[in-house]
Amino acid sequence: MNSRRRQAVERGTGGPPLRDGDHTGGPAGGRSRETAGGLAVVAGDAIAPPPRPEPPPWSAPAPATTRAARRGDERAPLGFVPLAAVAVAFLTLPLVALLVRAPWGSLPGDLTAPGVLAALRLSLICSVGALGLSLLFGVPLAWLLARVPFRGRNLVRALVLLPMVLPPVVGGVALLLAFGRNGIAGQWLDSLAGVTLPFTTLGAMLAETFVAMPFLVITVEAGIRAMDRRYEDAAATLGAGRWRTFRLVTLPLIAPALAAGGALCWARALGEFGATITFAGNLPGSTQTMPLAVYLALQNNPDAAITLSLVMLAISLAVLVGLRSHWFPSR
Amino acid sequence: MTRPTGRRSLAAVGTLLAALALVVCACGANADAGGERSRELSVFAAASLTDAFTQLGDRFTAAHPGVTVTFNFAGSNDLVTQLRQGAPADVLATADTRSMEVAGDLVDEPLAFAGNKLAVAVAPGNPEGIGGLADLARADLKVVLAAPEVPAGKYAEEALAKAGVSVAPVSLEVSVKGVVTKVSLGEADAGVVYVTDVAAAGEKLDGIAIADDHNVLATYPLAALVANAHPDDARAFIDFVLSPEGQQVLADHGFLPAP
Amino acid sequence: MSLEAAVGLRKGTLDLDVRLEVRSSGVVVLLGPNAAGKTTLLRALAGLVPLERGRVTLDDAVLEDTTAGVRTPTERRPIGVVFQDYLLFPHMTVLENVAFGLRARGTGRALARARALEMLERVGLSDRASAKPRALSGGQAQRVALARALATDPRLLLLDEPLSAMDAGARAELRRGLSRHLAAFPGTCLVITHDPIEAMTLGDQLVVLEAGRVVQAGTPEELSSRPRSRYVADLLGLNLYHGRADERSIVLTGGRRLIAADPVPASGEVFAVIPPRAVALHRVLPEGSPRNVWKGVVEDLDVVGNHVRAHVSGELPIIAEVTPGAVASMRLDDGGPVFVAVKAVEVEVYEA
Repeated sequence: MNSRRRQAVERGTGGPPLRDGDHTGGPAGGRSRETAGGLAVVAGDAIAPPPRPEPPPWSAPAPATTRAARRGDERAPLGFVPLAAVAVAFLTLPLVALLVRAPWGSLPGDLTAPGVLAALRLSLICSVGALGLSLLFGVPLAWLLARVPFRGRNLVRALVLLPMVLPPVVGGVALLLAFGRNGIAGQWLDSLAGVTLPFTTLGAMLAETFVAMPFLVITVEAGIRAMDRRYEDAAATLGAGRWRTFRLVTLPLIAPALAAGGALCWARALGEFGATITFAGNLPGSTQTMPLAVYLALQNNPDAAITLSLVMLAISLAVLVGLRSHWFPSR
Repeated sequence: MTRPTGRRSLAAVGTLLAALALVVCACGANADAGGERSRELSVFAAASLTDAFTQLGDRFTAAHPGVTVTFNFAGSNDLVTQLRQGAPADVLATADTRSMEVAGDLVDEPLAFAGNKLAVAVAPGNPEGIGGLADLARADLKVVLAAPEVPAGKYAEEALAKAGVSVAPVSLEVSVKGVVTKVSLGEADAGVVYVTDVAAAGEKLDGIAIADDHNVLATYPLAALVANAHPDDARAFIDFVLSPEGQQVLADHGFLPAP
Repeated sequence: MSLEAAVGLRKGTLDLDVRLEVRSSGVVVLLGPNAAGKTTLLRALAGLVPLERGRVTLDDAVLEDTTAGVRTPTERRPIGVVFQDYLLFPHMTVLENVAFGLRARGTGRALARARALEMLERVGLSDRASAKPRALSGGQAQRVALARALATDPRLLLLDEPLSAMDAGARAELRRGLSRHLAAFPGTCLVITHDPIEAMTLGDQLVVLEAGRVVQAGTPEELSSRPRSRYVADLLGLNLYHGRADERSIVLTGGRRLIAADPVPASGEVFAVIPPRAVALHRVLPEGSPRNVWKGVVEDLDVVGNHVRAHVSGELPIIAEVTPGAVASMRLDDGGPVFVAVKAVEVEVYEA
């Protein structure tokens, strides 16, 4: 017979309940009693349930090593530390070099050179605009890709993510062929609405949106897939319609994915060069964003180029640090 | 995004990498396919020399077995920057004398080997009826120029100043090829490019001549790098470019004789 | 406020076909083994799973009718649901959670909060109104979930195993609290549970679901005196046998005979139930009146309260209830043979 149960009976404490399929072994004869007297003591008495018995044997506390591991003293697999160190060095050395070789002396002059502020302002306007467009159109797309099993969904997802792997200049040419003056859609925009997109700030914003939106879509789709849909069921049973549920329940639950996707999207838009210059051109004040300004500065004045690069670096760092609580929420 | 076909996509990536590796090896093998080890002459040349120099390179290689000419075409400024940062090359050909000056002590005595001048590029058939530089000031036209930081842009500025024309371009492209692209795609109505660009674009562009007294003559210098690996081959290539045959090839592509 | 439901749908390997009627302000307890379809049925009533065929009406208002093509979406059904994991919105405070339903149905902010606070007082948690769900204990979370579901005055309350996440100590008190709330609730209630005590005390009608079909429905008394399925018998700790009645005895599947009171009150296919306390164990062949005696071996001993249940295998497996004293004096733990004796009058027989 199950020895645990026997001990429980002998001690007079509650034992684990018998479950279907629980079979005891053969006759358990021959085992000596462990508690002297055992049942004889309690025979005839009402056995009250013990106040708080020691934890049942099946829930033994985790051994010390695994507890420590949960707390973060992870021991990395062999070789991970040196490999990771190489990665850190590789990724940070160029940035360090930028700081070390920066022409700190001529910095003020370079920063206030004509066109720098305009380029900076344009970069911020276009990248934030690209983020806004990506959120407005990308989040619903991510939701549909995650939730609605429509025909051709996988194909649509592959197509929508294509700009991520397309060389940016190719993307720019494709945009021209679609939305340029003679483009498939562009010619209608021109003749019907008098709207031309190339060579405009809006065009630059659209070029940045083209390359950056997929990053938002893929991150948010993953976040929506990962969330517990039963919260939305609960909201529905409480009377919330689809919009209310999305606004008050879904969005807060996917907020980390949204923030991460948004940061990726914005950073990508900020650094975009090839598609912007191909589709929107380069005109200081209207389409010359920072990456373009840096590239041109590099032609004749490398020091100025470094200075401008530092400005972009500082802004990006500020945003990423500001969002670190979303990237790495402390639990 | 879910990955229901995790194993399949891993296999696909693996196959792709294997294919790439094969291609790379094959390329490497081809380089030695000639039996004896051929020397590689590395030539850095301005983007506007792409078509002409490619043809010169083919002819030179055919005439000089044992030497293969490889090219790096880019904006003259980019080339000089790369060289200053230590990129290895044997011969440098730029689109203006200023870039060669910036290269300075990296090169031997430069020699002028060709000239170029500007033209106005328009759509085939000249639908907007542009006659010359003066028309570029028309408000209804979208005009594209190269950025003043690159030689073609600087020359265009000079030419427009000489002609007394004030233009509001819609874009300042980072290379003259960008100007060519915008006009040939129909995004811009006109641009200022080199005559060689018009020649190279064939049917995609028409060129409107610019009067000589407004035009700017660009001088293309050529020099061997001081620290080059094949001095004899470099000198031979430079001689070839300056030879009647080489000059003819350049003329075929629209270049002018060196001023 | 009555519920009439005919639910037919298929989900995976489950084929659900259930007819249910609950009179006004009744509490129906839904019982059954895992994967019987209880949660699916609850979700279908809530409108979270569409019916393939069937009809659901609440107080004569049709919520869903497949033949007429009518389907009220979940958010417009006058229901309240307490889910198995409570599903309190983690990013909202307790008060906001409880007020959510009111706000969703159009109540103004201040009024909704006031009503929510009232509900929290009713469940005794008004002091936790500004806490976040993760700061609550299991029992507190359950009460908040109940308050949230009741805040909108639903006409149908659905509870999916509302106490299963509790440990034994908290459960009894929470069960009493739940019982009070359900009794006070004017609408119709459906509670899913695994626990026999909850089943007996919370519901005035029990419905047993197995593999998508109702195998038994009735009051707790009916079920406990006349179980009609292995599941219910196991739940209540009764010995249940199935067989054919002839004049004087019941022939069980397997050939063994059980002698019941004379004459056998039913005929044809019957169930025979023997409560464990009616089963006596002896070390030697008993003399005297018991008419059902056979040999067996004690396989296992369970302690339940202050009795011991002995699981006896042998010619006819049976569970006997004995005192600890009897276990000791008869040394029932040594695995040797025993004699099982059941008086004929203790064998309850009824039609299957």
